Amino acid sequence: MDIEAEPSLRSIVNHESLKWIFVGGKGGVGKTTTSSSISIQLALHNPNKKYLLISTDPAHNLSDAFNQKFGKDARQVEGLPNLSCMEIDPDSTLENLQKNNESTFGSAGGNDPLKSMMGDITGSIPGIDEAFSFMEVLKHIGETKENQIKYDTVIFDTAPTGHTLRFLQLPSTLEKLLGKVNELSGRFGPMLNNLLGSQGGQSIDFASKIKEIQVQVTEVNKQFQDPELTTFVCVCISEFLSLYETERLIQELMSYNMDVNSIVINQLLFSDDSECRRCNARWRMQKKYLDQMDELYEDYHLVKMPLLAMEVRGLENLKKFSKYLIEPYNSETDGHVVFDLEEQ
Amino acid sequence: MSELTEAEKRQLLREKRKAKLSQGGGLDRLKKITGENNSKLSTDVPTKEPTADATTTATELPTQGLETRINAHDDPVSEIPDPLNEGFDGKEPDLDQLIASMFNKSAGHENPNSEEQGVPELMRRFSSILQGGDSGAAGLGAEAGGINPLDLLNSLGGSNIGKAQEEYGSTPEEIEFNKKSIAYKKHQNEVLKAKILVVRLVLILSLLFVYGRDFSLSLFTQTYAPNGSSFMRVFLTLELIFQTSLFFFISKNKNFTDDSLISKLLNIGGAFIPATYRNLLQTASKYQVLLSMFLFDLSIVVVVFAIRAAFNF
Repeated sequence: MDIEAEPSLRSIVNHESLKWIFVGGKGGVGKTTTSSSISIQLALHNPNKKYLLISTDPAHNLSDAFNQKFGKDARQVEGLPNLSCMEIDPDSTLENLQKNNESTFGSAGGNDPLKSMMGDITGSIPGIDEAFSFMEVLKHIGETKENQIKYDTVIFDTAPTGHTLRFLQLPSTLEKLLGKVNELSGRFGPMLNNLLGSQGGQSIDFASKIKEIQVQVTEVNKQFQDPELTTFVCVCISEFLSLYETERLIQELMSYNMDVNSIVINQLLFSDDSECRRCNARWRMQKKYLDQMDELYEDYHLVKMPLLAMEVRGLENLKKFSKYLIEPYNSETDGHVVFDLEEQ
Repeated sequence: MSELTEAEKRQLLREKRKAKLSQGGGLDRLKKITGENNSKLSTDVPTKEPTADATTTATELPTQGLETRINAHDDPVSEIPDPLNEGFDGKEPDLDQLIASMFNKSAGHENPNSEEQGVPELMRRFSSILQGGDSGAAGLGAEAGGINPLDLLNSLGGSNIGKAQEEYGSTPEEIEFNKKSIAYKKHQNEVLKAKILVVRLVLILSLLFVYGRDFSLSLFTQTYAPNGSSFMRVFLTLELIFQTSLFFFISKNKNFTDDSLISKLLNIGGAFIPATYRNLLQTASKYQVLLSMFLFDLSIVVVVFAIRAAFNF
């Protein structure tokens, strides 16, 4: 039976069980605009559900996209009550961690020189952004604590490809690592408890802590590999490097058993009858790669989005733009939207 | 045939996508993008016709025959270097191998054929060290029954120490050369000191010879008498010039080493002394050299005067 994948993200928006949606691709292709648009469409189509959009890119853009200041804690989008956003900041997350540790292990006082040194060292560890993003995932994986909102779906506005792949590989690596640590803790657990666990007058059972984390990580890994719970939306533009990287990304993600079923192609000119020579030449180039994509990705939801005359910023503009993720853009009937955005 | 549910459609599309990427399909796709392969992409993929089983939920559909997870070893795509993703190969590291390799490296050698690798090898070395040397453990001073410090350093520091060893010489010829070089420098230093001593002795004795005729006067009157000869004044002036010159000389001359107590203390514990104090102590050491020379010169004068007074000549 020949099934055609429709050129929209309707299947994602109408998907009942999706818990994690990753949006990623090469730098500068419109990941933030796309992830914001997907989140808005999800929130609009499912008003009874709660959505959280998290930026894991160290160079955060969500605040700029929505024209609203977001921080390390989830904040509701003004005008869309069932959508919240947050930007993971390694520095402040580290600060919080240190505070938690102080309350758990006791503090050496405000002038602890080790504290700032460890902060500097930890902040410069490669992949620390991914680790903190992963911690955020862990927060939402288990039972929600008191005063914590339970989100139905979490959308990730990810960093460019390399970071994202590291982030997605983290659960599986961590699961194996924790397995090893768990094995060793059987032998050295009592010694570790004696050495480290009695700080601050409290006894901490490291073996059980590690076991607890391992269970959570295994659950994350399982969920990330379940196509009914997790999906990845690739974002690209119709150019060689972007197409090449998208293909690489898809192959890598499939090797992690992750589901990729949608590709959003941004910044298309659709200028068949334009008088602008540059636009026409560029559109011809875009069409060449579009043809390749149509051929390569016939089993994917290939969503073609137009390049607009202005930046897509602010909730209203995002709403106008995001509409075409669900209703495929037609340059003949929808061309007005190119100049229809409100200036921010 | 009944209409497929959304879940079933998703599952079928997923299977099609996986099938296309399996069996080297990934490489073909990349070649297609780079223009190396102009052939039409194969779109004929074996898809499963939904049967009665398709009425079950998508997650329950059998996927046994469609397990097409890209194996990094089989996938030719993984052989293509990815400039956009440099330093990250996307493969999960084998932790056992990683740990074993780390321990092997820290033990200063890698022997893939060795049966005792990784942690056991390291533990064997530690236990051997603790037992005071085992003839079976390479480089643990079997002859002396103790620990060869170089091998121990190699065990603990790995290849870096080995590198340092290469730089500073490890062959018997190089060690012999280093020894000879140190002995030569020591000899040069002694010759230099002897020359300085001779110059000083000649100067003092010449001075004594010149002022010997006025020996009838006491040292005090010779020095402070308004019209008398001023042996001490000349002596002190010459000493001042000499000591100043010597101070600059030993400051500039790196080969000059002194045997003062401060210098010896600096050699032993210099690493534990703060830089500010270390510089002060080095300067103090130079002044100690000058002071000892002055006292030596003065003692010659006193001795010569004492001898002349005793024998009255």
